[in-house]
Amino acid sequence: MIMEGNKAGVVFVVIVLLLVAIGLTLMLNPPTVKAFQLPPVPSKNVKHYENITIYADANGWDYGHGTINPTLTIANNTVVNFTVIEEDGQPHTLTINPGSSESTYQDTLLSTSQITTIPGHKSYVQAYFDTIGVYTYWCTVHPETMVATLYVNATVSNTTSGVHYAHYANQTLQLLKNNLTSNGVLYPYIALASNTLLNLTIKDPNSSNYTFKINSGSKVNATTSTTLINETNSSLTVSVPFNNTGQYVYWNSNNTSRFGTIFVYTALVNTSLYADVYGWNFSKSSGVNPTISISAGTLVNFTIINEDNLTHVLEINLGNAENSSTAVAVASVDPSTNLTWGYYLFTSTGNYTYWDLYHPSTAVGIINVTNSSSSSAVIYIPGLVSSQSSSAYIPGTQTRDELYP
Amino acid sequence: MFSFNALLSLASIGLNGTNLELLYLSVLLGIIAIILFYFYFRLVPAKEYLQEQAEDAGYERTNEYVRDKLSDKPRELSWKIFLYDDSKSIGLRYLFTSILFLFIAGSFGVLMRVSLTEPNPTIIGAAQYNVLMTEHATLMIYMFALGAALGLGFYLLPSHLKLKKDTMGVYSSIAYWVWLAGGIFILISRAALRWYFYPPLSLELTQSGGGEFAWLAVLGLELVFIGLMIASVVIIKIIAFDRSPDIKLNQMSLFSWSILFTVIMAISSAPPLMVGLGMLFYDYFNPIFFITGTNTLLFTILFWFWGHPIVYMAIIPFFGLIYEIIPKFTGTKIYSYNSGVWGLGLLLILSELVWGHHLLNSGLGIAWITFFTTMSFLVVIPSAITVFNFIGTLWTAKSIRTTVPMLFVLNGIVDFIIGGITGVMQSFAPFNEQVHGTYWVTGHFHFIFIGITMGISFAAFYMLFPTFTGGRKYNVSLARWHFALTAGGSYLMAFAWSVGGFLGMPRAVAGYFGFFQGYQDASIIGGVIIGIGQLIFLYNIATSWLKAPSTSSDNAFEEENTGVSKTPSPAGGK
Repeated sequence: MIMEGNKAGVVFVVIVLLLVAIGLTLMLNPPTVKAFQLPPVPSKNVKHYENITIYADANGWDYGHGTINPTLTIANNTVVNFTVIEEDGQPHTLTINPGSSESTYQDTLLSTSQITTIPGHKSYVQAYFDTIGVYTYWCTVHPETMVATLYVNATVSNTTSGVHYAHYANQTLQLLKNNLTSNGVLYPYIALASNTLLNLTIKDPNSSNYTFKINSGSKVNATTSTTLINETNSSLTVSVPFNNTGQYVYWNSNNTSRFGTIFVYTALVNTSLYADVYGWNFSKSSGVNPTISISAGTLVNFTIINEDNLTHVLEINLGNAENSSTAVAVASVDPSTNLTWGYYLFTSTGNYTYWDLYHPSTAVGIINVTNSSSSSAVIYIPGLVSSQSSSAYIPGTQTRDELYP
Repeated sequence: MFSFNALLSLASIGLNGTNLELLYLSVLLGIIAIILFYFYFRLVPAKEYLQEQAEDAGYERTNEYVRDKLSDKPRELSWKIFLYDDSKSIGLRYLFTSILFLFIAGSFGVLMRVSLTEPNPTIIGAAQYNVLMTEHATLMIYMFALGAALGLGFYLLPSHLKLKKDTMGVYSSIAYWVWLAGGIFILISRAALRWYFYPPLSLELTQSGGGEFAWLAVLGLELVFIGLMIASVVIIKIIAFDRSPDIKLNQMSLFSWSILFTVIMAISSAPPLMVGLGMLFYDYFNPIFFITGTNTLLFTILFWFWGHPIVYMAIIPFFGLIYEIIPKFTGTKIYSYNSGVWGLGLLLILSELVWGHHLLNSGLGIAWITFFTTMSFLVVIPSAITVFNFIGTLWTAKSIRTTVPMLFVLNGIVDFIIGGITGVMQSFAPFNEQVHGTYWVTGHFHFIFIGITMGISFAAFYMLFPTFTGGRKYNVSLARWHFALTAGGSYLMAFAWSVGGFLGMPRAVAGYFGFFQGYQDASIIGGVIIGIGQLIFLYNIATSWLKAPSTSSDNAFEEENTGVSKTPSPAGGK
């Protein structure tokens, strides 16, 4: 046989040399394919390319880099080049699934081993979006903190134009008997922070002829209005930028007597206060009765959480001390209500006092309103637990009274 | 030609995503492997052929025939070693596979040397250099050093111990195939994580990290360990229960003792790293074990708990071989059999207690540094006992025949003295801080590995050459050239490294500062000389094998231990 007799040595040497050659060939051609690759992008449908860079931090996407857990908006048929930059040395994934929350039907674009735990390490992945809708992008290691929304709209997105908005908000309206509704509320008021891109989706089951218009001011004004939609379609999405504070109205051409209002505030802030007989946020390590700093023109959404099952009423008035004659009751909790919320628009600069109607001696704090030139809604509020950092608030189901404290 | 990349990237999708392809692929490959192994172990014709031979010879059981007719007799190299599963066939498999891997990994080493002709990498890129370095180290230690040790153990033990039975061949065979599969996995993974497999580098599946398929190297190493564990248990069983009643423990050859100590070391040190590798592999899916700073230090501890014993496992069997070879060419007994056993035994014990000296700069704390430094100094005692035992044997010899194996042995002793001294210097913590991560370390262990592991393997190979070839002689002058080039090249290379490293030349990088040009050039010349020497070795094998048999196929290792000699000599010598 081949390994016997006098040729065995030659055979062995040939095997050695062959394997050495194979080994060297292998080593000099180390694999260059990515460990994970999405299916090839169908080139004919690609209409846009986006470059999106996000920072991976266990406290939230983009923590320390502007808006935490930013809402991303892209146009349909877009190839997104994601760049994920590791921030905190913790393992993270970039996982995306359709829908407005995390689900098990998911696609991990970048795994923990690809993002790595080396701060500053950049990892890249391409994803192609060809279905309009709401997506959730999140980190499977930190699903509580690192979760945000990605919208895929029909129209060209904001980011392709090179303009970057501080916030992105979404609102769906339905054309029902020539009236615009949302979840049964006729012409809902929409509150926005300035520098927000609003993605409006208009659903028209009957595909009737209408134009969707918007104009600044408090009344319908056909001459100054802008036509946003002039089509017959069952569902259309349009992205509308709102850069400046002010009041706008939206309406449709089939019913000019009715309109909805959009308020654009300097900023929108969601914040939580823990109501306790010994003082606001008494049980929180950040300190009791924290001083809150915001800029003028900010609409603050206070969420009141009952800590001791007593009755508490959040009162706010201008000035450095409680003044029950000018104070406005923003929200209240009682033994049967553990959580409630209310809004207050801080129009003038100076100090406001926030206090508890039932415990005015212990639960009283100061809100410092400054004339900050920054229009950013991202305001640091010491000692407060922000229930939702996303600053775009769309009170689609709120009544007018709730909106105006 | 090779579709490894495609296959591996298919598997990688499953590893990183939630796809089921990997599951399907593994189940499919697993079924194929099971079918192949069924045919291999049950239906291969050679087994029937062996059975027929046994029946013809009047044996009812094949195993008894193998034991009586094959087991302790010198064995010629034949393709049938892959079908028989007696110890000697297993030994030949291990031995020749390890030589294959010696040449594969050695070519990586020579290429690395050559690539360093310029301070900045010119011939190959840094990523390729990292791959070459990882593969050179990992394959050399696990496939060559371990393979040669196990191979010589399996091959020589039946003769040295005059086995009364040889019944666990199937397990040895499985161990061999698992070990080989592990080596192939490591080879095709082209990992760049060094032989340490430290996370987080090994968790980074990128070209600039541990390599795209670093996970395959983790799997491969685990397989190597599984094979090693099976083989170790079989060898312990052979030594403890299967040896002839004529041979008492205190009459066992020193080589048998060295193999016994080696496999004990393997079984006692490998499990922590086997568990660590399992945790590491789990981290690819769900990183919970080695993701923060202290946990990566935990892996280094798991690794070095094994990592130091393995380097002793790579030399102790060859110390045993030196004890066997010296008497053959000096005509004297080993100076002190007892101190030989005790020296090797103390090496076993102390080598388990010194692993921390690889981490002296990793923040173990002054108490542990003192402990490991002290233990490392204590290793000098058994090493010196062993070396002085060699020297004493040579000293008391009336004459020393400087045959090729003896030349390798003499060179190995000198190499070990130099490498040992440069090694023990490193256990001095302040000095360690200076030379840690420099070519000094590389020089230290190449002195020992080339001198002892590789040199004594060649010595044993030359001594067994007539047996492997069925009575052919190797060309002595070519073999002397092989020896001279190997020894001379290794001295030049390792000395240049040691001096350059002492001056601060960093190791394990694809380039160097221009200041070190001279030391790098010298080591390149040395490395190329070693490579040329091995080509001469291959040429010698091929040409010598082509000639007609001209001598007996017996060899000095086996003839005196096969029961021909009525008075078993404790040291195996006369």
